[in-house]
Amino acid sequence: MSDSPPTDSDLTPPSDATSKSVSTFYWHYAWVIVAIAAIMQMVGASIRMAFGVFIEPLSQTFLWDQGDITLAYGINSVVSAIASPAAGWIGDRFGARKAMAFGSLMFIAGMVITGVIQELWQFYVAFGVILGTAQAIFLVPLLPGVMRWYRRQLGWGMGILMASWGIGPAIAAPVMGLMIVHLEWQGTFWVTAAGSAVIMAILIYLYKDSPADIGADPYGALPGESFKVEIVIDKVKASNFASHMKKTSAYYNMSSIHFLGCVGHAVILVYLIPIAVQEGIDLVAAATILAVMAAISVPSRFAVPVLADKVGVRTIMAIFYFLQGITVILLFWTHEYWMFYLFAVVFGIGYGGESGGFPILNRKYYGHAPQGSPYGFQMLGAGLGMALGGWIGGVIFDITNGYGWALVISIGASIAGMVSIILLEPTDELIIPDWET
Amino acid sequence: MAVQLRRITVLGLPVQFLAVAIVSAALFVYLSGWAALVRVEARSDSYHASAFGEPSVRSTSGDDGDISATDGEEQPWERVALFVCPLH
Repeated sequence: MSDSPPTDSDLTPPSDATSKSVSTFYWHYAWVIVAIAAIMQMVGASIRMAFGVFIEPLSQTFLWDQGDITLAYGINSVVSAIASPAAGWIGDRFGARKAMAFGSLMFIAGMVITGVIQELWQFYVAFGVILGTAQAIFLVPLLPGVMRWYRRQLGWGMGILMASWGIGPAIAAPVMGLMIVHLEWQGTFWVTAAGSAVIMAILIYLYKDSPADIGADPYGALPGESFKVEIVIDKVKASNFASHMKKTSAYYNMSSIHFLGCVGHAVILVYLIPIAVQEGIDLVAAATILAVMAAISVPSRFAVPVLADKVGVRTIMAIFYFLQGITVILLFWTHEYWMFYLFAVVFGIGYGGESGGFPILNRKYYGHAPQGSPYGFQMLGAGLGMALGGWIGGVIFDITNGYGWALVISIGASIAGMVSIILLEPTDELIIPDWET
Repeated sequence: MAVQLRRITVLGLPVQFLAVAIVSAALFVYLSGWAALVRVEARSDSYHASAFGEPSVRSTSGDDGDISATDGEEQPWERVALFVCPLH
């Protein structure tokens, strides 16, 4: 799969075309593709992002420890991370549409099965393994799928996609909280599965793998411009670059930084609702706190790549890592409903900006070289970070009957990430400019 | 200092990356061991409470009972966690 969203300069048009101009915005089916991918992301990722809503009901039904329940979240994250490279291959080999169809079927099956579990191991298999694999299969091919539709102005499409990562949980957490109240947690999984099946079937029907499928040109194509050469991955070139890239420190450090960032916010994403419930706030109200946080993160998701490109990627990333970490301190003194909202707002800003700088950082370090490998390795780090952060709070709660140390780890991880960003190489020149020679 | 740190590698891996990996692994092992110990002790306590005055339950392992009395119910992950963690 591809890594960071290419900029216009990635897709350099023929010289005769550069003198012409094309509108930034106009009607094109590419926007439908972006909308489809965004909704698919919202539907597919939200169940994991709203996982915190299910902790209390599952704990009450089966009398499972929180650590046992949240291990399923960890398994889901690890499986999804490990399956991502394979999911990218499936998307490249069979097309995003078929990958989405296959992944959606797995997703719906996983949701239905999760609704009938009786044993802890069944929960791990259904939610952890089946849903984790399904999410990777139908989410990973989406990005390269959308890229095929853009000759220029891809940044806007990518921005919308990234924002959908924040919008999904903002909608899903309170909706699922409400559904749990009225339908119990089993019913919530089943109804969500049924709703997702209908939505996904419509979206997959409308989705097209490339503009050629509807006889159109890619978005931003100039009149007379030739684009016989699609965005393809030269395997020999990619392999050559990967061997050079793996000798650079940035390759490893960016992955560990993404890991730290994800540990930092996974603790909050998973345990904010249980923390609020423990303070006497009801489940639906607690879910809206998570929704506010997710909504607040959306502008950050848009802004960070732009700011990183203009102001300096390391500076911006360090600032947002710092914001993500330092604001968690507030939770130690947060007991009232309004205070949780205040926390959601300030934390959401930092959390939203945690990942937006990575595509820019990749571009600054490796230029326009094929970057599937660094992206895959960073996603592996991110997935493992989400798994560790999601698991750690439950275990600490079981041991200490509180979340204090989990919050300390969250803060420490974000601040360690910030320090690690500061220690990264300067971005004023490519790290391996001569890798092709 | 930052330049020097960037240049330090161990087995070809940058020290920053290694530090994160080692600390995270250590944290995982430590917390797993701690969680396993707490669960084993909790079960042991509950056995003691329920089996008070019933020596057959307390002496299943031939000694005073304690943690060994719960060996039969110890889950595989708990055994692994306690084996791997040097502090628990």
